[in-house]
Amino acid sequence: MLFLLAGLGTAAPAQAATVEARVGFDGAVALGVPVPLEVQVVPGSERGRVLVVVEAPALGPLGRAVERTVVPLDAIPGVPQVVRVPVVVGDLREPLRIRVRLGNRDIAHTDLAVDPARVGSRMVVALSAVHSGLEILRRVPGRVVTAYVEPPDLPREWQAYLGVDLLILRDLDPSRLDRAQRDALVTWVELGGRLLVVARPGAPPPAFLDPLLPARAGQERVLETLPGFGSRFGAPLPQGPYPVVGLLPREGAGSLGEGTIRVLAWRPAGLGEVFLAGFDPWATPFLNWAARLRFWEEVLGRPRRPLVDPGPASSALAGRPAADGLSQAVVGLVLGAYLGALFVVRRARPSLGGAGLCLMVAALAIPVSLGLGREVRSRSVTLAQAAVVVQSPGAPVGRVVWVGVLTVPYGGPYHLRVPPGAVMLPSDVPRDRTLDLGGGQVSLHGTLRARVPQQVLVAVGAVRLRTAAALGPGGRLTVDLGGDRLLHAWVAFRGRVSLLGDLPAGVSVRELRGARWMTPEDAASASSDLGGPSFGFRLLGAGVIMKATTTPVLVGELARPLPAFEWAGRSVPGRRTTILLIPLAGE
Amino acid sequence: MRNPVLRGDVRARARSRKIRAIELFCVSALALLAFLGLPPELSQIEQDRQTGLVAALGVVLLVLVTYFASACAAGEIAVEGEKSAVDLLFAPFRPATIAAGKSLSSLLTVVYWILLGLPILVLAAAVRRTPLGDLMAVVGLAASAAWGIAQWGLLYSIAVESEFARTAVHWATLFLAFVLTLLLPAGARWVNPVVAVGSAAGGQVVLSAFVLYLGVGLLGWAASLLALGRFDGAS
Repeated sequence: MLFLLAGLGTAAPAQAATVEARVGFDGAVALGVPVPLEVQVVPGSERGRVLVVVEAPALGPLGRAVERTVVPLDAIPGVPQVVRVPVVVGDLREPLRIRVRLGNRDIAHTDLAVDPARVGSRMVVALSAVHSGLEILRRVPGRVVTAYVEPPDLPREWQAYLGVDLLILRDLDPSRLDRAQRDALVTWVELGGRLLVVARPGAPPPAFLDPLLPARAGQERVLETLPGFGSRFGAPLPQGPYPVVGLLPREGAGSLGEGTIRVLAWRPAGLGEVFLAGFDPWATPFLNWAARLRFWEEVLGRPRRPLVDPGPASSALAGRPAADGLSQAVVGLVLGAYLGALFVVRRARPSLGGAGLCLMVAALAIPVSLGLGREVRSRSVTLAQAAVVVQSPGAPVGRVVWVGVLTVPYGGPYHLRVPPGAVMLPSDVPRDRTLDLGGGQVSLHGTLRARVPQQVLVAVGAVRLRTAAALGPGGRLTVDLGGDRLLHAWVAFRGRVSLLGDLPAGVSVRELRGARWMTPEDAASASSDLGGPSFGFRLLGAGVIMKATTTPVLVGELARPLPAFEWAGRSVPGRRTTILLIPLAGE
Repeated sequence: MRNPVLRGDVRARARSRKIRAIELFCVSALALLAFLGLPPELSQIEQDRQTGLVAALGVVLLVLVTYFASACAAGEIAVEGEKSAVDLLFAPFRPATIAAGKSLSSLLTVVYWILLGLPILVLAAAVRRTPLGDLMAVVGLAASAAWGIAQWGLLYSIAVESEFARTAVHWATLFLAFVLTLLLPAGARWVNPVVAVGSAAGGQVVLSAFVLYLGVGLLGWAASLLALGRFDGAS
């Protein structure tokens, strides 16, 4: 016994697990959109499967809610592991809580408060060795927060950039970015991101960004001033020198400079826009330039309203919760059969024995009722959803916003599979829910209350898609749908709609000159005369698809289904539609 | 069933066409309500469970079973082949045997009717996710209230000779139990059987109501026994 006690006394003490976390870009976050979260777990002496649970509080009309993101890890004692997930910050008053769970107990946890000073309505992120120089952006209207990051901080999911209004790449060593980070960056730009790449003498732009760049890097030189800047931005630049990389603008790119010396170029890249600066905005003379704010305002651009707003989608998709018709019929039959059985038994045997038989019938009916009740409940679940895809012009990718309305009429648990690659966004009415990132498939589960049995689901993702449409001179519309077909197509422009009917796969041409432009309401009725009402009109009417588009947009229902929310284990009824939006380029 | 009065009443009720009609009516009413109440309810945001249908079925069961059990006990509904408590005094049965037999036959009838309706309540509870414990509380309350009031019906069948007066007193008792108790202060409104059943369906503990109805029943039964004893002595 003494030896045993001595052994216990000399044994190494069990090491406690630790967890540390960082949220946002250098602590800067935007509310209500995914931001990167990095969690480092050191398991201590624990071994086996642990769960990293991120609890993000949110506040909505039904009170406080918590969205949990669960990531499984195989813990190896003492070996640090890093988990990176996008997380949505919805309530600044409560910290994010990160727990590390082994079985049913927490082995470590930490609270991560978001600094309100680091929350803005617009965010500028700079990958720069110099962590200053953007302070002037505080004078831009709207609350702009700036963040300086290192290459490892850049996210691996493009959706984690959704809160970023401008990303500046100044000192980027491409070898420090992995494939996922590069893909996320490129996808984000193609799907609406705004990027400024700084090319300085001796530091060419990263090659993986070359297809997006508006210009090629040319000859390096030193200039006394940046040509064209004084006249464009209203104030002369301080005396140089300005070491620059001359730019050779590509087709369709705008540029600033003088003669053949171009030092700033820009061009849309898909749904986004890319600027290439051949000079260093952190150079001392530039930092002293009086019109620097106007330069940054122009690069930052104005806040853009997206073509698709998932907010009002629930009104377009949701129906009144109802019991399943077949279940109701079965319930009616079963109740009728029960009554009939009682009647027949009591009529045939009007005695104590008959009453006893009726009790036996009732006893048999109880398990049947239990099973039937559960079946009615589960069969009444509906999941209506629309995937709205916006084709990125010139890029083989489309931005998808999935909007679903899950209805569990009598309340109860739900378990859904999230479309592959999609990231969940918060809905207008946040509820407690859990996102499980284990097993390679993201699943979403929670419980709906009976009196509020509907849950709006919003997710954003990308899909490989190559379609194109262009409006030529004289209103000639050329559409290339590749292998896809578009049903009930129409063109929307400045609040008016022109119906096109179904468009076949491949290239098709339609003349819009002389076409009848209607209000969406008139078009909805005309559309039903043409062979079926378009669900797109309902989304247009609800405001999901922007009505007053200043860019003409081709809209229609994509004939092929896209991945969508799935009820785990079986299919549930509910409308499923894919709406494709192609911004029309001018020829 | 050693009690000869209980044995006779149970046999008579098992053969009675009226009782058969009553039980089929009760079960049919429940079935119809369950069928029509199947679609989900949407009104109150705070409540987690949809107890409305189960509460409604519980109340209908309570009202029907209470009325029919007390009406049969009071002789307002004459069951074929069933002798009244007063008539049985002329047979060689002691008042206690008669009172116990009549009371137990009421209880068995109430329980039988409730058991026939139970599958429909279970169906509603399963659809609406009402815990079975709450459902059992509803059923227990309905049974205790129906039996308790039926004991007063038994008393009226002994103590009130005029059929009209007996019916009037019976209805007055039902009015008192189901309507006048609603005038009580909010804190004491659980005395009302409908309120108690509704609360039970909502998951609230209603043990006090259960005990109250049993007490009311025992009081009615004791009064019936006393009335029978006096009647026996007088005759």
